[in-house]
Amino acid sequence: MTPEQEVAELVGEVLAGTFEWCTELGEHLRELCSATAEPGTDDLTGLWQPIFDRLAAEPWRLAGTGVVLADRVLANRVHWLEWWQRGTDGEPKFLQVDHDPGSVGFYDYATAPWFAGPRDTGRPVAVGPYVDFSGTDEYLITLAVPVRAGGAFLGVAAADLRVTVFERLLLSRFGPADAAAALLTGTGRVITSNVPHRLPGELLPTAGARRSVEIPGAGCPWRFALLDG
Amino acid sequence: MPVDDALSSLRRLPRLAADAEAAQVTRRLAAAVALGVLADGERMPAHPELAELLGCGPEPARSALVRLEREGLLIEVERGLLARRPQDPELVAGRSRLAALGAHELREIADQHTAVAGTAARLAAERSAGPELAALRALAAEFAAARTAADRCRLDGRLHVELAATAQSSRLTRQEIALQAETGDLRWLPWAEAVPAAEEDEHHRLLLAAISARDGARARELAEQHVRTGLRGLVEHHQWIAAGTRR
Repeated sequence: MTPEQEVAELVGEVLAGTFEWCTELGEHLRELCSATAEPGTDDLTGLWQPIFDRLAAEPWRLAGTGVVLADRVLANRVHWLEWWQRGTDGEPKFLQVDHDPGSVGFYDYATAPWFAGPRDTGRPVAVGPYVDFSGTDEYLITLAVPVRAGGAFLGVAAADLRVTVFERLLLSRFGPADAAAALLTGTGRVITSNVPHRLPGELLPTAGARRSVEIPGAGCPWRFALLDG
Repeated sequence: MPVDDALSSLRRLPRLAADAEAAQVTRRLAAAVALGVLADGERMPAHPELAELLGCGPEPARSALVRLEREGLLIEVERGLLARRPQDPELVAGRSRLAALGAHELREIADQHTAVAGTAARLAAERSAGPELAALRALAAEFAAARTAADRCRLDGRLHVELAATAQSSRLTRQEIALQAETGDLRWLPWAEAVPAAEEDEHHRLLLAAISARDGARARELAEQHVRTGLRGLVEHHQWIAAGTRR
């Protein structure tokens, strides 16, 4: 296996492991919602333990995880996300967002690609890196899977990853002295690289990649590319 | 420690140009020892082998070894020259902060710094008067004469803060102070400066010339370039450390 295939495999494993977790979390949500006629925010406390365990098991990998609900799935809230992050003290921290549609800081997730994508296509998505304003206000990659019960869309189960996860992985195989390389999204945006002039978030010029390997398995259009310089 | 270890550490450094001068070779190696890319106590190869590993000529490599020994970054023992990592507290703290920050975070800080420093420079070109310019020039001259990383860090930070003040903007000045506090120390790590002092000095000279010529567009461009150059240096050092410690 070439070093670039090796990195592609490792990235694929991170994505696949995270998608598996999202699917598992979505399953918990589906069970909770089908166990009661009118599920409310109180019922979502049943998700806490699995979420806390997962955050503790992968502190360096997961920036946050939880479920984001479709309108009116809950009896007591129109708009809701049960989202937890790892706080600076290592304890799980609940994410408070603005649920008021009239406010400029409203967290309008219904139009976000990580929500609308799974809702409209029924398929998992990897979105980003992007600035999650009004939500976490961080620069993140979000992986999300749809959650359905019968014909109804309940929402998405999702997880946030920081780009440093992939930086660490890339630099462990491709150091500054090795060939210039970058992990790219489908649109050619740099997720991470081993050269100081290709920074996370920048777009790589179309002619910039010499050859690239697709990230296997995860069903997202990322690729690992060797650069011209 | 076997020589092989040092050789594999040296292989982690980006190669130098074949015509690299002794000063560049020295800077690269000094930063490698200071940042811990070459582990404390690692044995250095003889200069012909070193030259081959780094991609430079043998004479600059020999000269770099002599200079580093004089600086105390290499010590001579019976078996040859060993790397000696300085225990300077600023360096130790800066190194661990640089390791913890990702390239993304460094880029985020620099994006904001570009906006603040670029606008401050443009406004300073429009609004500065004679006495303020004289004060900025005096700081630039003090910087040029400074000999330690700590003095350079203080004077360079001071110069950029004064420049924002010259723009007559208290908000930009406050932001400049906060940004200097965030990365100023990382840019001026002893033996591992993100931008060589001589280059920094040249940036100051050009920037002050644009300001005194009241060329706001040029001043902004130079201030933005200045932040970008520093960012590249920081990301490069971060990548060395991150790749070195995770192998």
